[in-house]
Amino acid sequence: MKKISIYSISILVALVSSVSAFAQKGTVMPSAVRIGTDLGFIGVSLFDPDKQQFEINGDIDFYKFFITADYGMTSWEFSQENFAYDNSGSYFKAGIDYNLLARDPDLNVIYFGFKYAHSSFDENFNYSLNDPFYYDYAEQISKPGISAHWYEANFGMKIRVWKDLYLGWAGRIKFAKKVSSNESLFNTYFIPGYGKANSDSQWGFNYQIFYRIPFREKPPYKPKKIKEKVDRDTESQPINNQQNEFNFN
Amino acid sequence: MLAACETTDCITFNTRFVILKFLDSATGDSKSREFDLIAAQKSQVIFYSDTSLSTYLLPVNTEEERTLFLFLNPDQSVDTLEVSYDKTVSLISKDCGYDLEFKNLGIIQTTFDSAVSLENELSRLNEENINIFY
Repeated sequence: MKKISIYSISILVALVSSVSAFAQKGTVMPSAVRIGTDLGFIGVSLFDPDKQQFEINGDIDFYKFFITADYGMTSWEFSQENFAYDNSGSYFKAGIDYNLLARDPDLNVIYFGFKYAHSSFDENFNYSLNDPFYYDYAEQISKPGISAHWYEANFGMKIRVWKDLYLGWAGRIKFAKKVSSNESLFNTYFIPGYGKANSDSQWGFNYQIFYRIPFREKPPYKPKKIKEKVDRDTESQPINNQQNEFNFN
Repeated sequence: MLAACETTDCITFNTRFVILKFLDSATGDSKSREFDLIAAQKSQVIFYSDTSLSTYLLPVNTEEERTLFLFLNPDQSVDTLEVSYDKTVSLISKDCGYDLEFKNLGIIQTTFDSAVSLENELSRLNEENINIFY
């Protein structure tokens, strides 16, 4: 798993480097950063007294790609008559999305992409047992400083609704989860940003709102072949004229 | 151990009972063994009294990671069997509650002549955890 992490980070670094290289050549320069948040999580925090969840999302455009990053915080606690559970922590996700609507004049986005995610959190579980055979007892289990990482394949869209305001949704599958913990007495129950820890993969859905902050005017996208043809035609035009003039003369 | 189980997701096959099976040392077949009493150190109750069975279900002490079972024979001699295990607590859900899982069952010491540990995980799917030949 450590090798996979190194490979995935290497792939991300390579992709970012490639995009940066494009940017340095002047072929692609970021035109805006888009900052957003998850409306679903805000709804959960408002209506579920047990759970507080907040996530901030960002992306920056490079050619037909977006470098994306998410940061979230979660606090969840609940109890029943014979047990109590609480979990608090944060997570970040970083990756690259490919935009299928690179030529859209409204800068709408339909994308698919890949992310690496990492979560750090604390977990506590207290329970009591009314034992019919031995003596009743209660136990407190604390698991501080747990970390987990996983990968996400995601797809979704961001649609302009007014000026620089965008609404979007994202579907994602989370997989290859790895949890590191020194304590084996309690099986980790919940991973912030991932979900229930007992599942090897998880589906996720986000309903998001974004605000786009432009740095500069985004140049209209021209496919390479058309651009080359236009450039060639533009360059050859005066020569043709000269040739025509020469021929006439 | 499970609290408020209302859905099929709450079903678990974990158990706290060690399945102890007595067998004939000559033939290997199941063979009933009579005890006046079976209990455990720190237990509040007697698990069996005046019983003759070939298979006994013995609850481990879930607070600790070892249990000493005591067997009072009809001749008033006492046999012992001490087992160790690893306990793991899992929270299934808010509605289902928590579950206790016991793995790596082993025999620490016993006065029975021949005791063999077989399945080292306590599960309702098991047929036997420890066989005792006599």
